[in-house]
Order: sequence, then C-alpha cells, then structure tokens
Amino acid sequence: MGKHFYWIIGLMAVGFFACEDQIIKPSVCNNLEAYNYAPSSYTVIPPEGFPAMEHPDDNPITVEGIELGRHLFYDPILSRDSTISCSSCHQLNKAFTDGLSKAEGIEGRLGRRSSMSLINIGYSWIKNRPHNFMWDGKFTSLEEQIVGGPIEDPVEMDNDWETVENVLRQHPSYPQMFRSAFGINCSDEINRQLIAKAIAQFERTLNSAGSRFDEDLWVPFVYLSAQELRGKTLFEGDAAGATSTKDAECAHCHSFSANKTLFARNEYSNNGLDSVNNLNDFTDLGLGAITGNLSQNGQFREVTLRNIGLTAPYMHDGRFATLEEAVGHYASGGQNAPNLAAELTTAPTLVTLTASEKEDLVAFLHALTDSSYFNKPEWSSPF
Amino acid sequence: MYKLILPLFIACSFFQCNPEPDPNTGTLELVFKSSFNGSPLVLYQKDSTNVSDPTTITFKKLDFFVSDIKIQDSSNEWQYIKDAGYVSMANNLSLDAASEGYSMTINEVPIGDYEGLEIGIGLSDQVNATLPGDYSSSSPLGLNANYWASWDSYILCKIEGDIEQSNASVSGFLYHAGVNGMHQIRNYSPSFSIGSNAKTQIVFEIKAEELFFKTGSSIDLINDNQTHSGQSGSDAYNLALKAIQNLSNSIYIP
Repeated sequence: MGKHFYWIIGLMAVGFFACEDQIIKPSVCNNLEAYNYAPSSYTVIPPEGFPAMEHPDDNPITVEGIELGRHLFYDPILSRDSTISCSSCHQLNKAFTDGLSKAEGIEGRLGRRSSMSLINIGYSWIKNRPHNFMWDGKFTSLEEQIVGGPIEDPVEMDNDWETVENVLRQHPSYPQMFRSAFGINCSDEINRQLIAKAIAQFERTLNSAGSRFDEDLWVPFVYLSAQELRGKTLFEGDAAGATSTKDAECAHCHSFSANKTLFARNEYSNNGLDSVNNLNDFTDLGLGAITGNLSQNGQFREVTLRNIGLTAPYMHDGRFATLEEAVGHYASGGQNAPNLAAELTTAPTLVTLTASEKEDLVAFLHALTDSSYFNKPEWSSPF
Repeated sequence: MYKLILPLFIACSFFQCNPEPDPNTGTLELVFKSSFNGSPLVLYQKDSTNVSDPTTITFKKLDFFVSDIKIQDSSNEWQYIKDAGYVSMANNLSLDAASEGYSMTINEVPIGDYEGLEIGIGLSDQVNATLPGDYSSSSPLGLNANYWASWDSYILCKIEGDIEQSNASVSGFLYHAGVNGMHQIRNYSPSFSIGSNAKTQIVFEIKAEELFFKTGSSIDLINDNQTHSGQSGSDAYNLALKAIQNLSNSIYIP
C-alpha cells in the first residue's frame, strides 16, 4: 500500500505543478514569520476625467507594497556603486524626468534616449499588448521594464540582479518590508520579481490631474487666460465640434475629452523628426527595432502632454530644448519619411500657424502643468 | 483498486489543463484579404492607379471595425455570433503577408448549415456611445488607439496613405470615420456548414481600388484628401460617410 500511496501523491503533485510556473525555493531561510503580514488593499482612484486604471492581475496593489516600492525607487542601493536610484532619472519636480536629453547612469555614463515621465504611467498599460512601455515599446508591463531595464543596463545602474537580491536579503529593514508587502516567510524569498512588483505598485500611484486645464474643465472660463484659451482652440481644432479655420491637429494623437483627459492615445508614430527616403535609414529604429516590422521603424511612443512644461528637453533624443522648438517642429509639418504620420501629412492649416498662434499653443501646454504634487510626502523620498 | 485510481489521477491531472470542447459548436474563421487592381495590397508599396491623376497610390493603413456579425441558418433564423472585431491590414508588408490576409476567429458557433451572413462595417451608434473604459483592453473596443476622446467616438475606419500626382508632387490622404451614423450593414449569401469542433473559413476580398476610383462613387484624393469626420451634414462628415460606404461596398465574398 505504501508504495502505491506515494506513487499517487507523486502523480498528484506532478499534475498540480504541470499548470504552474516552476517555483525555485530559496536555499536558506532567515525566518520572518514573527513579523505581521496583514496587507491593506489599495485601489487607485482615477483623477476626475480619467478612466479606471488596469494593471496586471498578479500584482494587486497594497499600501505596504507601495511603501516598499517608494523606498526602493529612491534607494541608490540598486545601482552597482550605490550612486544612483530610479529617482536620479525620474525626479519628482520634473514630472519624473531629469532635464537631460540623454539619461545619465553611474559614473556619468550616457544613455541612449531621454528619461520618460512617470506621471500617469500606469495608464500606459494595455492588457495583452506586447509593447506598452519605453520610447520603443520594449516592455509589456512596468514589472517587466524594471526586471529587464535599468538594473543590469551598463549605461544605467550597471548592477546584476543576483547582487541586488543578496544585498536586499541581508539588509536590516527591507526583509521585514517585503514580508509586510508580500507575505514572504524567509528573507531569501526576496527576488527581482517582488522588487519589480513593489516599484511598479508605487509608480501606479503617480497620477496627476490638478492643472489649471483641469480646473477650467469643471469651472470654465475662470482658470485659463485668453491666450491659453486661444491655444486650446488651436490644439483642438475641428475636434472642438465645428469646422475651424485654423487647426493645429494636436488632439488626434494627444486626445482628450471631459471623460478622458489623458492627452495621449497610447500609440506609436513617426512624428517627422528625421528625413529618410528608406525605412531602413533611421539612425534610431525605435519601435521597429523591437517588433522587426519595417513600417514601424522610426516610430516612437506618443507621450502624454500632462506636465509637458516640466519635462524638457523633448522627444526621445531630447533634441528640442523648449516647447517653442517642439511646436515649431510640428508647425513645419515634420520631415518627410515613408511612414510619416498621416495626421501630419494631411494637416492643411498646420503649416500656416503664425508666430503668435504658436505662442498661444505653448501657453496652453503650460496650462497642463500640475505642480500641486511637488511636496506630496507619499511621492517623495523616504530617506 | 489502485490500478483504477492511478489512471484516474493521471487523467484528472491531464484534463484539468484542457477543458473539454463543446461538441455542439465549431469555429468560423473570417479571413479579410485586400487587393489593389487584382494584386494583393502591400502597404508602403506604390501602386499605379490607372487614372490620369493621381498617378500612383501608396496605402499605409487600412483598418476598420466589424460588428454585429450574424449568420442565417437553413430555417432562416439569424444567430448573433460576434459583437465587434477589428480588421487590420497592418501586417500587409510583403506579398506573402498580404496574400495571407487578416484572420478573425469566432469560436463556439453552433453547428449546422448556414446560408447567410450579415456583417456591420464600423459600429452601431449604440456601441459607439460606450467608452474604452467599459471594456477590457483585450477587446478592440477597449483600446484607446481606436477611440478619439475629443469627439467621444470610436474611429470606425482608418484609411491612410500617399498619392503622387502627374506633376510629381506627393501628398497624403487620411479618411477617419469617427462619429455616429456611419454604421454600414452588408449581407452575403454564402452556403457553409459549421461542424463539431471543426473550423470553417470564409474569405472576404477588399478591393481597395473601389475605395477611391469606382465610377459613381469616386473620391477626389487631391482636393478632398482628409477627413476626421465632423458634425452631421458637414462636408467632413459627408466625406467620411462616403469613405466608409465605399469601404463597405468594396468587400466581397469571391
């Protein structure tokens, strides 16, 4: 009987684990069970005018997870020489960018592209879509970006995950925080997946919709100046509901409405930065390098315009130092390429914008700035 | 006894990962293939228009919603089988890919013999009143990119590209139908059967030249080269309506 019994138990285990990812157990256990594990569920409440936020099912957000993520986000312990943290390139008062055209890693190493804003970053996730994050859509989820991105990148943190995991496992306070957030029993259960989950949870809370534009949306004609309102009219053009004589056509890619004020459509396009005759000729292939799809060469993520006044310089390579330059680029119609966005090739009045109309547009873009979170303690460094 | 229990556990372990398919249903695969003047339509490839102006056309995008798909059984009863799907020619970047077309699979279709198929091009006003946030982003209706927040509407079809005129100048075209009143209904009479757990394929051909160059419904790609739709009755609205009507009428079952 004993022999058959163990056979059955063994087969049941095989059957069970056949449908599960392989679980690698830690070799050493520094017991954490004495610490309380009672996570408080956290629901991201969308700012007024925002849709509900979706996020991966396997990373439910908790108060404890967010707090752990905030600590990790601001802690230089993640980099090889402990000189930079996530917050080095994603600074609070720059809408979580760094003011540089190319991100700077340890020892001043220059990155390939500019740091992207993390404001409202959770809204960039689209379930089942493989290309959601980074300028080139390299990563599906925030968690994947954190695991596969900066830690081991030689021009960013230049560390290795094994070292990071070991350092955190032996840290005086992190094991207890991981226990509180994820219910681990042993410090050696701290791994890159949990680290990524915590940071991602924190990043999903970085939602901002407290600009003067937002105030104007709910109480019109009080908060925006005449110039900003003129800029808004140009920005929307025909999208405002009637045929306009001048249309800057911005709202096609940076769309918004009272119930959907993200100023982004979560897509990739070629916005005419480089003139090429052949789709293979882009110096930076962008999305095309990730997908291998020739027509997507030179396409980059369309970013939200919320807090755009804080995120200079602009574009994936930071080529435009000011919003004036960026608007000037679009008003030129963009440089020609076989896959130049049709929204630009068919914009009849875009190239006729006057200098003062461009100033109006820039004024409206500045009205999308929300500085109310600058001193928000829950977004600030805990150190 | 253990000889009985052992295979039972093995079977349970196996089948917990593979739910039993319903023998009373099958799969209908709708394949959309686009062509231009008889050849598979390859995006980013310049095609001769066979008209004096414009001389060439290059398609960059040909995407559209299909909706409210029904099939008619042999007793003339209609069965609703799919609410909405999104047809995209984005992969038509080579002759092989364009020849293959875009495939849409509809599962759990009741088995039987059918004689009719109805398909909506675009979305009904009722569905257009919903928001991407009402759906999971795994649905085409849940994607922000298919929705234009400024007009509170889905973008029902996107037809984009470039033309070259006889004077050698190159310009773009863009036809986005994205307001109410654009839903087109097409009826076809294919005879087909759905077998138990079997797949049946119906191929549609989109004759892209008929989007712009069909006598009686042509669109002036030079002077009316873009529309994002607009208020009902406006020129922009009428142009968008014509574009989606032409699209609907260009779809055949060969």
